[in-house]
Amino acid sequence: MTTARVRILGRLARARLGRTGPPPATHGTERVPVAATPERVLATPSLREQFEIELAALGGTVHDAVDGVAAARIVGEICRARECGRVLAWSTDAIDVEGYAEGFAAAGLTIVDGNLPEGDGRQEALGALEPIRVARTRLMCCRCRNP
Amino acid sequence: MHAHATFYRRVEDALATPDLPEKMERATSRLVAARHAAFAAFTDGEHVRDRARAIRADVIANLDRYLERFATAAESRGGRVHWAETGADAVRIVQEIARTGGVGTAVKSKSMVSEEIDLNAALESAGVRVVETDLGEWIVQLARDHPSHIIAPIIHKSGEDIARVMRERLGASAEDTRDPAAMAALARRMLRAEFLRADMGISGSNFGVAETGSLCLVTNEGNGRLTTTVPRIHVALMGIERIVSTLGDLAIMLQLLARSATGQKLSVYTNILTGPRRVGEPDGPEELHIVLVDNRRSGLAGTDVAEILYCIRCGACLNGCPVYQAIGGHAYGSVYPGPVGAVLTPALRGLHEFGELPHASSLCGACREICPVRIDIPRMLLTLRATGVETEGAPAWIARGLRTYAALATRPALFRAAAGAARRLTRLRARNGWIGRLPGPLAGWTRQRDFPAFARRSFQDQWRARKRRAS
Repeated sequence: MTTARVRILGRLARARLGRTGPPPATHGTERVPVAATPERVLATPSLREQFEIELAALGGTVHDAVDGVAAARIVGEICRARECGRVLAWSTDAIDVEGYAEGFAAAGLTIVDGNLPEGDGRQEALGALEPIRVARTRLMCCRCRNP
Repeated sequence: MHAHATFYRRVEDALATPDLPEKMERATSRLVAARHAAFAAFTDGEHVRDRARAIRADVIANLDRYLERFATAAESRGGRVHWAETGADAVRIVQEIARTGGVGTAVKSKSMVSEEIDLNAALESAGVRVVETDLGEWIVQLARDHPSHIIAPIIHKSGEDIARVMRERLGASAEDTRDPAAMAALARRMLRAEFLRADMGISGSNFGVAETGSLCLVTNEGNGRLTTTVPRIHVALMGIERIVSTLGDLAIMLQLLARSATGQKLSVYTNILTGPRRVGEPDGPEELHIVLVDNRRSGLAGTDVAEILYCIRCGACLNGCPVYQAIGGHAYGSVYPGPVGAVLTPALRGLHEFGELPHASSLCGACREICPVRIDIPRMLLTLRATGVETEGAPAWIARGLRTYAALATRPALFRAAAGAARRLTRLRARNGWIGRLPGPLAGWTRQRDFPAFARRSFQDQWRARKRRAS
């Protein structure tokens, strides 16, 4: 059961992010997702909205991606906006999303592994990481809340 | 179109009310003159207006973030924040606070949101006696009337009207009502007892400060301070859009609010309330409840009419509006009258019920000129008019009239012939150049004023004759 607070802030957050919000809920009725568009099936509305609100409050932005290719495209756009061709990636192996790696390659992005060697090569590896302006960590699947 | 008929009937009633246009004209002219004098002496006024507009634009664009910050800060200082999605939710929340707190009597400072959600009636039905403490609102309550102005609820009443209300409702003596000072003294005596008796104080909030969780409340009578500090429970109702980011931004807004509303540099009482009474403090409420009322405001965010949420409820646009000056506030049929109400009411409550209000404007732009945060009300009125025609359709006679005009205006020969016929007909009906009554659907025009007969010769005819003479 979503609270009034989450619903109100959710509508405002959607307006801020440039999306069309739903019409104001009629009193006493819960808003029901209208159609099974990719954006709508991404999340259980309450948790998805709450997450976006909390992140937005901290200065972050949530992007919706229906699959791995779409996720890679979004990261690609972020990189392009920052004129960045290399992405520092954490735990590449853990991100088991179909089409994700191919999407990066298609976007002309190079993934740099963030696992640094110990000992002699560490300083050199750190130096190579320094100019990278975009870092990618885990993605979250909003349907099952698994990474 | 029942809604149109109702609106036009209200307007006719207002225009036919003895002395109302004169009272409105006198009162609004005084307020506009005071506002102009205040800004003339405000060296940096235009710059401050620009800054204030930027502040409001930023707040409305990022309202979710500011509301979160406000709620967190208010709760960290001991306040309880309630979120009301609808007016009915807000009413239920306040009723529940009253029930839990064993409230028998509540005093109330002026709050437009409480009018919007019809709180008084709901509390009375729940067994809570509600006493308005703003002098104007108190008179409205005694007279079982409705406010007709955002900041001057009895702008439609004369001193004699008020004296009559006091005599009839309170049994006041001739001595008690001999002049405004005596009437104010009577109100003070009666209301002071109510403040001391009340279990709950209900107020609005002019601004909520996000960084501190504070409420800012401005009044000229001091009733706001008593309402929020004497009773053991304070409930503040606030529309979700009334946020400012910082105390610094609040200072900007306060420089404009009183100047725009009444021509004062600052209201007499400016209260900044942060949390309930703390340990060791001698006074203040034991509980502070802040009810954040959405009531469809969040649905306006990101739309073509979101700018109306910049409004700081100074009432200046009402004072400057020639339509409001003529018909007063009641004709609008909404708690928010005047230009701001002509946008806000249909935006919040729907064009189906209030589709006529955006037409209650001559689009002269006086509201935009006088607004302290430069809200482009005429633009939004046009947007709502267009939306209304798209969704509700135009009245049949207007649609037919426009089709006929388009057919004539695109055929010059036909247009000239029709104009000639109209010229002859109007001159036939006119007495001394004016027509007292037009036929059919045009009769509405002449119900309140005369219609001028067309000129004997059209402009084009005169122009051709002038050119002939010149050559």
